[in-house]
Amino acid sequence: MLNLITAEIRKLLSRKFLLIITVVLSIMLFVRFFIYCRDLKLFENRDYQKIRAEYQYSEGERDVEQLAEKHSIPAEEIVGIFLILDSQYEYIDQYKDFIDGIPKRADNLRQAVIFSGEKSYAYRSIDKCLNDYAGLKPVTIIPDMDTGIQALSEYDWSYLFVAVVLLMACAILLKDEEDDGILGLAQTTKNGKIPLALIKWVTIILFGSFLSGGIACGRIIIAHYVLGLGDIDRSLQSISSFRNCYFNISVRQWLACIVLFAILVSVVLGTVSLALLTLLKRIAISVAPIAAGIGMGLVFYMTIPINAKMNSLKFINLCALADVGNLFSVYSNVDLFGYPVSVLPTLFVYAGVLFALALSIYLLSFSGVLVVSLPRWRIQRKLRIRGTVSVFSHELYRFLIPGIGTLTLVGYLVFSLNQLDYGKLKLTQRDYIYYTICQDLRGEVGEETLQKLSELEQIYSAQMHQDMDRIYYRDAMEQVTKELNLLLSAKDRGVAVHYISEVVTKGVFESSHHFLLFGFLLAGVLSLSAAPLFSEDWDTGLSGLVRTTKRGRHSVFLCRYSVIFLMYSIGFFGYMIPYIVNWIHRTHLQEWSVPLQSVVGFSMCKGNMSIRGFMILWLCAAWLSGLIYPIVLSALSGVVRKKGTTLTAASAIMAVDFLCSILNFPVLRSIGVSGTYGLMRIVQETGSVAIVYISLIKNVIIFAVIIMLHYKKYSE
Amino acid sequence: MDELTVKNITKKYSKKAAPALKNFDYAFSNGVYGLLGPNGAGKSTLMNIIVGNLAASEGEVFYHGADIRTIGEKYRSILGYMPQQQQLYEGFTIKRFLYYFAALKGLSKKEANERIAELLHIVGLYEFADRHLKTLSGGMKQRVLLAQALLNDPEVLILDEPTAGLDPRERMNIRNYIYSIAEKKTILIATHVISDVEQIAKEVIFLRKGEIVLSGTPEQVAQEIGPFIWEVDVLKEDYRRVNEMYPSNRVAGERDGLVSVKVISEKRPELQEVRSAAVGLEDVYMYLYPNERR
Repeated sequence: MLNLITAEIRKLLSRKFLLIITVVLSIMLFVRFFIYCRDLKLFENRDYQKIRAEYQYSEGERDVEQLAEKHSIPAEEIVGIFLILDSQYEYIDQYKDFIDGIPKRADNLRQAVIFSGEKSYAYRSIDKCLNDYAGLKPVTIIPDMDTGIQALSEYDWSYLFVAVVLLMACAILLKDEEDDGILGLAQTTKNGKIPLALIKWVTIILFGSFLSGGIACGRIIIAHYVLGLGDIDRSLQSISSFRNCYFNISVRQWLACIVLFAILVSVVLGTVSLALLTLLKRIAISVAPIAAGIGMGLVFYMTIPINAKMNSLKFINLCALADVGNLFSVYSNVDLFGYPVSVLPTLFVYAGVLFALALSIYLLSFSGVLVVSLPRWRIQRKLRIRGTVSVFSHELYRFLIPGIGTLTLVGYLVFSLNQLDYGKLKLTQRDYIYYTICQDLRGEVGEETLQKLSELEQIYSAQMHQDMDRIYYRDAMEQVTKELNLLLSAKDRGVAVHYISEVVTKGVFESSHHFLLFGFLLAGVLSLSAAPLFSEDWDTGLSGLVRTTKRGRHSVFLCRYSVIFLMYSIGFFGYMIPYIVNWIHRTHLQEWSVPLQSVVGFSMCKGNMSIRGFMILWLCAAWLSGLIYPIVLSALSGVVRKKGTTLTAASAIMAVDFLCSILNFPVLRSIGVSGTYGLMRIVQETGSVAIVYISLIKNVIIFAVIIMLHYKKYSE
Repeated sequence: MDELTVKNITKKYSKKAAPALKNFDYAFSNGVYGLLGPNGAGKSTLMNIIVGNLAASEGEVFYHGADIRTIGEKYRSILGYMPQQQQLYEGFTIKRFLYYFAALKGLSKKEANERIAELLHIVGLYEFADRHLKTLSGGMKQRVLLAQALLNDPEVLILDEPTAGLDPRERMNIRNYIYSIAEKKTILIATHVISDVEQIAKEVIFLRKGEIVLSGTPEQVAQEIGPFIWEVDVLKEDYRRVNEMYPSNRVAGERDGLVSVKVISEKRPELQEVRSAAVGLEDVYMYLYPNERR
């Protein structure tokens, strides 16, 4: 049995495509979460611990300057930590009142719902709430670093990725073998029915569990190292966002729940995928109910309010099981025919029933007991011999339909639309003060700007009454002065710089990590989608046939590259345009034509270039650099002539390039194609605008050489 | 005038390796040509050079006197090629696959509509036009490939094992169709199924280790080999002894306890009642490749 499971696992691991997708997307998920955590980070965990110790012993005395000197921590950071500690200690007092006050609030609520009657859902909920919280009195609240917990509480979308990978794995173990005739052969053997079905099920479950469990553990480790989780043996209620949690569990147990629930979701998803694929036989038809189920589940989960009459639709749902943060932090019950039932047990029952049903269907249909014959609508349809004779349309179809190209593009468009932000700027108090000063100083920088600054200093000083505001104000003024000094030095070099708030510019000019991640994701997925355009010909041997046709050389070559260009461009601009639109929305149009040095990070740069000119050049360079991967992959397929080897080679090149950029190797990162995505950072560090031109020219040369070499090879 | 002339073609895959094709020289006009020989004889190499997929180490291929490498696209527009393979684009239906090749062959939409409908009827796949290629049997895939080769009504048609995997009825239909269009086309068929070309070939070419060992009309080659083909009737129980004495033989039939055996031998076999036999291409094949598997 173990040998057979090992053999099935080997089948999965031998599929390079599945492996590459799994590894690349896992890395992307981790990098994305890492960036998310890094953005949340306001101070170091060790600084928090030091200040907390001081806070406990010196309540009331807050000599920030002295503490800053003593611990070598910036004053603004200490202020931030004090704010957090204030709210945490305030929460300790409030929590006791909250728990003690539950019976009284319940009495009040009973009065409010008396007209609904004692048999109403609302009335029963009050009684249930009293019982639920009854066991919580001994809970001790311990304040500690909890930003990591908050990061982990965010809705984790990785189960969607696990669902896709599991479906691919199921298709490999079932459909591919069925198509090759191996499954039919295996099913005629002694252990070919239920035992074989169980072996495949165990394989999928193991694969899914390792994947989902690995991702969950990875997220916990990242949250721990980047943000800190504090003492994990403290009660979960120690984190203010978990005030309403009525389970007497520690943070450690909650972290274990994150991993276990992720595994549970993958077990259910894997079993359902196997069941549908075995029952319905066709991948496309099996994907539809899974996608519809998850899609509807998500809509219900995200849109139905927790206390709505139909909240059973919200909670009896796999998407709810994936939200471990919400499950433990929000108090609510499922309205089951007027009776309040706890969410978690209901979810377990639902998952158990779904799992048992799916497993039964899978085993029965695999062993041939349960057979569903789907109607073949196509045969009933009137046959029409009509079609297109455009090579481009056919190549586009080859890119979109059988591959993952369509999913990728739809995903990108949805994701990019999500980036559009027409709302007001969301600023912290400190950033708000800084932004207000910046707005007053907007315009060309000169001696009068300094005068204006000193005037503003007087006005604001008079307005600031609270200690915290004064600290923020001082901090903001320091930043503005520093920025103005940098801009004035650029002005002394003869550059007519303008003053633009960093709050506005950082959305575009400080997003190198986002662009880098996006660039790799887009280039990687596009490469995988584009790879079959050329390599499938070599794999199937059809290249020999295609090349003997009238338009099988120049036209096919051109059309295939046009498809790659088009799809890549949609993905690229689909992602970039929201950034630009957001920026236009936040700035005055005339600020686009001011010198690049007006963006503080670029103030030391040499060379003449407007912000608009820089953005256009950068977009061209980035567009070309990402395009090089699909092109390298296509060209490699012409030399290697094997899809697997091509994908491996291209992945290796991509991985090295990506690492060079991430690890910031000074020389290699600018040689690497990905250097273009991190170009803004490189220009800021080197102070040379010429690098943009060099990068653009370098990309054009690489691009032209690869295409020419490939064309020469293809047409010979 | 000869349509297609292959002039002293030699192909070496590497410097040290023996040539896959050696000084192949032949002129093809309209009609069907059968290319016969065991595996490794050089049939596929020759076909790949004729269709322009492979460059010859020496020699040229001319179409109406022009080097095919020079005229390139013009040559490919009158060329139809059916390779020997079973893997096609899995995501395509039969119809889409044919429209894709209609596009590659530069057909207009009207021409493509008419031609695809006609060819689907000819190869017996009209009702299956919307079926995905991955769901087709080997024989159906062969017919799809044949249909695509005929899409542009080619003047030069190169077919590699066109009837492999087909049932006898389909094989006969295809053979008849090829014969019906052969009058105005140069058709070169490489095959292991000798009956495919025996009845319809204008000329047959036997290859061995990249060289022509025999060529001509079926009658000419039969005549040339005729003196070495003998027929003898032996008792069923004696056949094993005959087989040991003359390994190059084939059973031609059995009647009244006697087995009719065709023996290939340059000398008259030392058996009783040996007579000269009517010679078919299968006998020629047996004579030319006595110890080689097909």
